[in-house]
Amino acid sequence: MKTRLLLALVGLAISFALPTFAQQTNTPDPRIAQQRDLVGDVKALDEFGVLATKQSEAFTNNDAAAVAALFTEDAVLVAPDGIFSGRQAIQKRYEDTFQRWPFTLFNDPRECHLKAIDNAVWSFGEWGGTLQSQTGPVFVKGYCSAIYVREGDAWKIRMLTLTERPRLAPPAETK
Amino acid sequence: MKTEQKDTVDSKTAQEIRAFSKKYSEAYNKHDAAALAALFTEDVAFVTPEGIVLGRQAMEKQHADVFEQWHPTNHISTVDQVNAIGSDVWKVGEWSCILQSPDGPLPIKGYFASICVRQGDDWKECMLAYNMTPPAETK
Repeated sequence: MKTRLLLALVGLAISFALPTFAQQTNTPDPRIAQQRDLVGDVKALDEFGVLATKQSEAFTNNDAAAVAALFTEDAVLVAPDGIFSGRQAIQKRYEDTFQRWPFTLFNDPRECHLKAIDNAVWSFGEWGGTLQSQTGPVFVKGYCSAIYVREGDAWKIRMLTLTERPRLAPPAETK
Repeated sequence: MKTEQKDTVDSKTAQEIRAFSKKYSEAYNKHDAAALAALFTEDVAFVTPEGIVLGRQAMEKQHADVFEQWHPTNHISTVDQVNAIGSDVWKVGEWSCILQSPDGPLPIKGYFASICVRQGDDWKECMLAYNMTPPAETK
């Protein structure tokens, strides 16, 4: 496994621009999941705000264990460098990442969309941050999608996908 | 790289989803953007390394542009695991294809995840996200 820039979990607190998604009929097919937006669901948005705060702290501290704790035990991370199944594998992945590219700033997420299917929630959006490289700070960004499930009083990440760009480059080439 | 984990849905559903997934590569290799777009919901979210494409129509155009510019061939996708989200499913896996670049054939690969929802007797994807493995890691 080689160099990789990192990743970020989706931050979910800020702007939710939620297109209409719900599809309901008077006689729903029991096989078809109930889908809805979370716009206006204050309780859910507050809960995801808590998750976003924990995530920012974990990345700011380059704390792989804290990042991994945001995931379920059976979570899956789909990163450009591979598919990592299980919290333990995800923690190891972030330990490697933070060692190579320490996070110095985790930006607020942009245009995060949040939707529900039955009792699960999924999202997609944009992430960005600044990493410390041997040649200086490097700004990275990418797009992400995630699935969340509830465990006790908290939402946990069941699946997270990440893209990232640009690849690590000298600061002069990084905007 | 990949760490192993098995399906968490019944084998019939997993089989359906793997068969459904093959339709994407079939349409992709025929450069049939309309047939490909028909595999997705009207309000699909397509998360790519270049940005997020919203809606089936925009997704069709994005693929038509890629087909015209890169003439991709040999698209292959392998579903590694299928899991439940409510009564729908999500899947993750690997993909690869060959682009025709000015310098010749360019193999690329990466990983994907998607959410598949039932619409009548069919499955449609309401979210597809893919990433691309850095060239140095592409074998």
